[in-house]
Amino acid sequence: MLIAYLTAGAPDINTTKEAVMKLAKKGADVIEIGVPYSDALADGAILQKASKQALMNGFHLDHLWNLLSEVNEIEVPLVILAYYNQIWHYGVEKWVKKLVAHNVKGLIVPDLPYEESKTLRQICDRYGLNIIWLISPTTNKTRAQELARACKDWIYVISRTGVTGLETEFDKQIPKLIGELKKVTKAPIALGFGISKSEQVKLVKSWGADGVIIGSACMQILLEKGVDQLSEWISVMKKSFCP
Amino acid sequence: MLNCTAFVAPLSNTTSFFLAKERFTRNSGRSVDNRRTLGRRARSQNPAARTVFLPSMLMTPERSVAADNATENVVPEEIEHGERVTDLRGRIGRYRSSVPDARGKFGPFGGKFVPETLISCLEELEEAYKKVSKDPTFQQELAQQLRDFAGRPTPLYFAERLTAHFARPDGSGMQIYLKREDLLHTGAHKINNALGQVLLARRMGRTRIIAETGAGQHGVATATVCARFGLPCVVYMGARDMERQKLNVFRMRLLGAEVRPVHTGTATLKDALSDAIRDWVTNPSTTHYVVGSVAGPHPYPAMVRDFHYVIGEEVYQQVQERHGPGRLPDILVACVGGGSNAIGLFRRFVDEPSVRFIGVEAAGRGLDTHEHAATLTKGSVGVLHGSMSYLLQDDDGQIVEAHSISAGLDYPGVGPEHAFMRDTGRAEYLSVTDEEALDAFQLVSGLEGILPALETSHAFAALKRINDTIPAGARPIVVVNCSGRGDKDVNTVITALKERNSPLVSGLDI
Repeated sequence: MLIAYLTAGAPDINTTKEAVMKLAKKGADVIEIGVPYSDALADGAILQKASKQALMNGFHLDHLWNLLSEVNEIEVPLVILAYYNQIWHYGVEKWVKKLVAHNVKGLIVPDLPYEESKTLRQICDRYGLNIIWLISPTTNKTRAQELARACKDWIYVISRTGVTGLETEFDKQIPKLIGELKKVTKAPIALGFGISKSEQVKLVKSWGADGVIIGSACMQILLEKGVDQLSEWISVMKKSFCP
Repeated sequence: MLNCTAFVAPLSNTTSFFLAKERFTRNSGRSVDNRRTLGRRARSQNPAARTVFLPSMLMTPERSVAADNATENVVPEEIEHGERVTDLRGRIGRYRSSVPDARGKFGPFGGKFVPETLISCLEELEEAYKKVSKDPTFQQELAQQLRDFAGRPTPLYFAERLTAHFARPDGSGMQIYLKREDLLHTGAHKINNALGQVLLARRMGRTRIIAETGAGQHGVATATVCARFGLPCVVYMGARDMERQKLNVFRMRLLGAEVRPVHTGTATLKDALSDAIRDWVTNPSTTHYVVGSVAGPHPYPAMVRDFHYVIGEEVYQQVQERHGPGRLPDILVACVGGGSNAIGLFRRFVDEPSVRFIGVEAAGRGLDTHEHAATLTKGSVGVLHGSMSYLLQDDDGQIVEAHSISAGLDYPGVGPEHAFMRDTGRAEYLSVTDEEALDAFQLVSGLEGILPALETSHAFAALKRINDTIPAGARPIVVVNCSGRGDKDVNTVITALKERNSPLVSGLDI
């Protein structure tokens, strides 16, 4: 499973739309769309820059809703990443309804730990939207297994402590963590943060992970080289994961 | 003389601490009206008892937690579901001094909205903090550092000429006292918290300290304490703030800290906080993040508050020394950016309903413009830097830039306990403009021989309006937290006064 990430509206919303379409054709199994945010705590330099660029270009939530209606036809599932303040300020129920109406399959909220998520969980359950929980190398075993059980779709394992970006060293605990999660869940496990090379993708697969999430590398290629180069690169990465 | 021991109260049962100590020193359950009577009664007790601070852990909790829990869950539905909440006054019950609860909530505010990687760090920090607040060795160590290194206790100074300035013709009006936190080492209250947290970090075996800073006062305080204990220190500072506060950048470098410019977002305090959090997420096992205000995820708002609790505790003692046992101040005034100096002053008195709390926010260029930092007055509820509180945001929930002439108030959020105090009616919040703060800066300098920080000048600027609320003939004791000294702001003030063609700067080629 190859999950490709795009920041909505970076460099502009039409490029995002084009990228979503092409990535879907070129091998992405899931496309994760990040909603630009002024204070994206979990993001490293590349994604912060992408967020900032989108906001400077006047990104609004309306652009996101338009984008989602325009890419409605693609067969690849879409997942939205947003910070909790964006969801909360919009209205949790309104937000979830909107995503479900646009055929979005999952929601990632990087600054919302399980303990604070009661309302969001209830509403997501009601409307049938999956919350994708993040598990970090610092998450203790019991908690990690609880989070894994709470996942109804796939599980996002963070490859190392830190923010998103191209720093490629994985935490030494990761193979063990994947093994422990496998014991308690059948849900697919995807590894994200710092993945940008074919060798890494192969390594992650050898640990038993079912997928990889590629974010910063995607946005770097998109912003520097454009949509076509990005989709070619993604097809190469896909071949590394599923030869 | 004040005895400088043990001011750290535990996270959740601070109430019992207050009540128990009150019983120890005077009587509990006293109402406002019989204050004087009880004051006389207190005098007949052993005078030594009055000045003894017992560490909170020696006290048995006796207040019923159930009583608090009954009102604990007064959380209106819209706070759960969101959508542009701007005011919950009258809807979340009364202020409860037992806050925060086990989840770090101050009513509907506070909490722990952080990336998963930090959850275990925060839990570890909470445990460690609970432990030291019950550890007499830690308390003694902190008390000794506060006394010998930082310079506590600070005086409570009667501002005679300022009092005369506002006096009515019959001599009534505010009796103005300044709590001289500006006299502390590094020139502001911030050192109380920096000392507490760095000592705690050492206990936790952390070998590296990080901090964020806006005006530079918290950065300087943290760098100072790190120099004192030989710990490496990285301070994140917005690139624009570095430009505005060069002097403090230099001070931090002299103290051995690395000042990392933050260029992301608006390149100010909020972005420095975000970058410090990112650093912490990257180095959670080696690093302690010294948050500089009563903001951030649980346990920071409670912990930072408790490290500043000493401010109000001293005021409590000092007012009695001057005016007799049992006498409480009537009005407490402090500026509010994140809100640490205000909470430090207020917190000792939260269960004294006769004491009025006034927090003063920065109205910048005016509340009718977008250039202000009046989060409580003009903001709406949201999540920023790990906790739910009021903040300045646009329709999409993007955090917007705050503005104030004082870099330390220039923050689009505010500590969750202030949000709780406002909406429960426990504290009032005013806002004053850059212009009013500048006037107060000059007024206090000229009348009292004290240059207040521009942040602090906001508190002074509110005095005129506060005076107007005082009934004829009354002479209330008003304590202003003189939270910092203004030397750091002289360049900013010169620039501002030049724009105003003030005679003070004429002929000065600075």
